Amino acid sequence: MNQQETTDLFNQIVKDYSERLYWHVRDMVGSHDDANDLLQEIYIKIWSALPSFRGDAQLFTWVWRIATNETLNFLRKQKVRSVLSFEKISNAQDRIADDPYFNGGEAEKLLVKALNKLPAKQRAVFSLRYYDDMKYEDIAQIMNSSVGSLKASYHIAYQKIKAELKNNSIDF
Amino acid sequence: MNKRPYTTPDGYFDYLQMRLSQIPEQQQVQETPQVRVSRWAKITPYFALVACFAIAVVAGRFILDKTLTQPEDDYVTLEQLYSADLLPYTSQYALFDESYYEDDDYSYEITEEDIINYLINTNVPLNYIGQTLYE
Repeated sequence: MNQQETTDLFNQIVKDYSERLYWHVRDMVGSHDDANDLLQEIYIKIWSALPSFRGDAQLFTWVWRIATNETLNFLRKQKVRSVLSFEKISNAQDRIADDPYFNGGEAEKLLVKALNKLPAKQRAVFSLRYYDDMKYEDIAQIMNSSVGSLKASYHIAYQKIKAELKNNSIDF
Repeated sequence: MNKRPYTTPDGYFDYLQMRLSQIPEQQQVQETPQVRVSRWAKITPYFALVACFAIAVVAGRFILDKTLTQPEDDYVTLEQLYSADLLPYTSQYALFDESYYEDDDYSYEITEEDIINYLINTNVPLNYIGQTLYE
């Protein structure tokens, strides 16, 4: 792939996927500002890795895999930083209350809160399945996992969220 | 597909696409051109380091040779050291009286004059010295 072809393909990825990718990252990190910054990093990574893209995988799953890995790394670093600095990451309820770009009702607020309590990988699986309606086969390629374990992971995440909402008298 | 309970600022996705499209240009500016380095250029610093070390060793050896003087006769030096070690430094006579060493048997006879000098030096009253010596 020459320079021009790489640039064209990159621009195509920006045009086709940037909005969907934003929502995927936003589901994972919660805040608009973090998602905005992280998306820049993800696209720089895509640009660097694009010459090595051989077309063995679908472009869509390749892009989503980079984005998911970068987001999981971001969440891991954020967790380590909070442990080292003895600062508690503000809980989901506080973040939602402060977020000017949250427009859900009370039920959605509790759903997001429950979602943020999940481990990062479970949150990624749940978000890809629940919000993006993605097939397990595609998620398996993105997460480099088996369909069986992803189904189990989604089921566990679903049950945890359901229990959390039930505690607040909301059916899920 | 379930609806997300979030929004974004107005016109955000147009701005996002515009910003992300600039990445190739920005990254190409940041990439520095690769400078080809020859093998000789790579090993030159190591040669320079070895040469500096060799010069330091030779110069150090030369300076030490010039500044450190070796004793001409080892035997004399050892004898002097031997004498110095044997010096009975608690004895004032050994320190100041050369005849102390000239006597083969190192014997020393205490005279009456020595006793008087000693008593005077230790502040014994003269009348007491006279009484003691000449009674």
